[in-house]
Amino acid sequence: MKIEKGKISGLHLMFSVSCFLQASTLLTSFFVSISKRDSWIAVLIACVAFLPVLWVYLRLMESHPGKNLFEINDAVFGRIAGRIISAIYTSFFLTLTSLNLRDMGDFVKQTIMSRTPYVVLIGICMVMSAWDVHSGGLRQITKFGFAFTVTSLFIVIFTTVQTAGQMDLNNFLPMFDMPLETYAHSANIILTIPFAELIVFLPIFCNMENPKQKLRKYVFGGFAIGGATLLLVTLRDTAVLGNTMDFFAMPAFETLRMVSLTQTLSRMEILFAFILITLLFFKITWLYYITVISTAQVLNFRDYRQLVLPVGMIVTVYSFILYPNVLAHIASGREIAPLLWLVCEVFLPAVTLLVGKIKKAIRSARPSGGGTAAPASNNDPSF
Amino acid sequence: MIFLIFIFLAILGIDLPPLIRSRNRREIVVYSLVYLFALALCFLYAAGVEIPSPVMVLGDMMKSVGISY
Amino acid sequence: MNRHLKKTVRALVCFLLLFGLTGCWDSRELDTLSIVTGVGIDASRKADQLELTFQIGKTEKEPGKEASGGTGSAFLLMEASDPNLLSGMETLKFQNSRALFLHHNQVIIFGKDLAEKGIKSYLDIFMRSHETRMEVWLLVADGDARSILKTETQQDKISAVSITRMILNQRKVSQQTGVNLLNFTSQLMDKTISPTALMIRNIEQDGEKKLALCGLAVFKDDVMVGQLDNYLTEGFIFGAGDVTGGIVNITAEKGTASLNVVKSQCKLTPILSGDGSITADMKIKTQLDIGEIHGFQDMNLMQVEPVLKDYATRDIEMKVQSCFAETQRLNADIYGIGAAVHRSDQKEWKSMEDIWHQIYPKIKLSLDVQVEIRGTGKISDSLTMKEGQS
Repeated sequence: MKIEKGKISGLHLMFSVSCFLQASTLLTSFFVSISKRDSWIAVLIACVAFLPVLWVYLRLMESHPGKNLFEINDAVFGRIAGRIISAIYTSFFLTLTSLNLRDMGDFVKQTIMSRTPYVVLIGICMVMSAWDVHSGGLRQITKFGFAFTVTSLFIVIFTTVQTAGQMDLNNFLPMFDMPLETYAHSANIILTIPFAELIVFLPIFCNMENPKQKLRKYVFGGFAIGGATLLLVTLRDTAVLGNTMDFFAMPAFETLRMVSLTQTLSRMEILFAFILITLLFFKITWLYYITVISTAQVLNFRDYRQLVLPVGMIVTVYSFILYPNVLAHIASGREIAPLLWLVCEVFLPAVTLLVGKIKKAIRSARPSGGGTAAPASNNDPSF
Repeated sequence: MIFLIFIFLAILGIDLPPLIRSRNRREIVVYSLVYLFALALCFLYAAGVEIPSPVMVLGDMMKSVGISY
Repeated sequence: MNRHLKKTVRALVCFLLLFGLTGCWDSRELDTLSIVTGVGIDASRKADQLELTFQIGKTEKEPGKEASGGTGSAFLLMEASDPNLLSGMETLKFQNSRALFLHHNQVIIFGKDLAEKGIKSYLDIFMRSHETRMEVWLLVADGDARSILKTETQQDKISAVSITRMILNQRKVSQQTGVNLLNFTSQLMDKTISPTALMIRNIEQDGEKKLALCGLAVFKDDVMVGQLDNYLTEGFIFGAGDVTGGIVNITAEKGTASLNVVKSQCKLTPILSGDGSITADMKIKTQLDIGEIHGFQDMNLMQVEPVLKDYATRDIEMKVQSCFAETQRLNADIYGIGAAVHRSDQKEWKSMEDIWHQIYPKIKLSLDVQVEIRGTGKISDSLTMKEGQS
């Protein structure tokens, strides 16, 4: 049973993926504080390490054509176990939504509107997201991916050029002088927090307009743009900030503060903050949408739009109770999250793929049916 | 608090008519469950009750077993 | 009816959302702010206390005072005395009708007394607060910071702006002179580089007080240990990086000349020799233009040029060597030779890092200055020279 009936084109998908990744360029402090000036190396390692994970996602989609993530779970694990695993995914998506909502609230509150209470900031964002999800659905949300991606790329390149006068290439040296586990830790963080969050696209990979279009090239295209932006931002921040980079909670924003066009046209980081907030909003809306359709799918709801508002309230309250304070958030992001997220983002899809393949192999070894373990609903044409 | 009550009533107003019109008992029950869960969470939080965060709990569990950086 | 209701609700929600987008919870009107343009921090005579001075730029023009020709100054000073910066700013709330607004702060000036005790802990609030920026310029006052901020400047109404412009002019000559908070913090974090900061002081000319930049303060970690005057500062900038301005004065037997520095580049390579000693190899290439010539009668430019070149080379060599010797005396690695060793040879650095303060005074300087006189201005032979020729 399919929840989302809308179809999107491959290009929309590509730009949504890149937009999603670009939204994470603000929150580089998680891994920058560990790998410091070699952070760009960690980004490259994570890019390479993510390729197999991406392959797992794509294979999963391709071996069960036309099905979204939850239907695959049902098909591979059976109805009950499938539902449980889908529920695990749903709670993961819920956590991600609340985390990003909290991050956005933190960003806006600390830099721009320091006296506005969190509730107001988060509430306004949620109202807009809820409206977006309720009225538009998939097509609506992905419409602006292109504009945001282009604007964000432009801003990154513009600020890189503007701060070129303050860059010192000596800040990159010496390279490779940190213990190996730093690189592993840092690459792990980059892998789980920006990159493997792409698992949230799994539920709608099958909603492309033209199913014959190669899913791979669009997803890789989006990942390439997003990954390149992250690399460029890390390089720029290392060149400008040097060894002070690990001091700051938001190094990318500090670099933006250093941009000054002339003596008068300086201190204008608020303009860049606009696009950062917009990107974060895109990410939150997307995650919210995915959470809602996951919940609808798990609970066997026919129309996800009824669930938008209650789930929204749960997300809002959850974002308050997630972490008691900033320090717990940072500690968790550095120590727990890279390993905990791996379960949902890498382990479960890989196991699903494996079990699916084994089942297929077993079934094709017994051509005349009678397989008692054959799952119930794996053959319905779900269009 | 009052604001919360207002919001939840508004949610009910927006979501309930289409549900009742569809006359699907199962969906109404499921929706009410989700709604009540959200209601409970929000009011508990607004009342100041400390709700344990699942992420922190999992994190503590992992730390006690030793799987963390 | 239902569609009408939907439309009304949507319009209402849009309208309400607009309130959030304007950020009016956080609105601050201009007339409720004291825009801080300069911060001065001095050691107080009472132990453990700081004298804080905030220079606040006035935003509105006072009518009537314009006509009397600038008797009203464009800024005022707020002072507080407190162990911490943040609580100092808080106590000002009781005396000030407006809130302090630090976003436009241009300079942070430390008094010499305080700089000699250590300034690291006072930088914390400037890094931590969201209102302050890393681009503020850091200076040390030759004396106390309060008198610097109190001085009125003629051409720029607010003296902090005037100081900023002076620093920017210095930086056009050499990027190593003016430091902002980011540069200073970056240098502090490196264990072996000694940070520097520009020094500024009051001078009296015709009974009027003026501000003048007067060299560099040299820090070891965050404690000021010495001062380089203008002569030694010139030696420093030749050896530290690129120079695109400045003058080289020479005095020969037959005449004197002032040469403009068009461009000077320096390459500093630390050479580690087998017995553990280090040679700092400095290669300086300078291009000069003739700015002003006095004397040299009976000579034409072809004969004068090698003389100028020779003297200029010697002058630059002396400056650089004096500065290097002074830094070795102060045991302050302001050139970043330690960092250069770290970048080129990590293994050796591990053994040297902790004893760098013992190694630095023993470093030998191998200096190679090459001077080229590129241009002569609009005329080639000067009047005096032409007189002697005919």
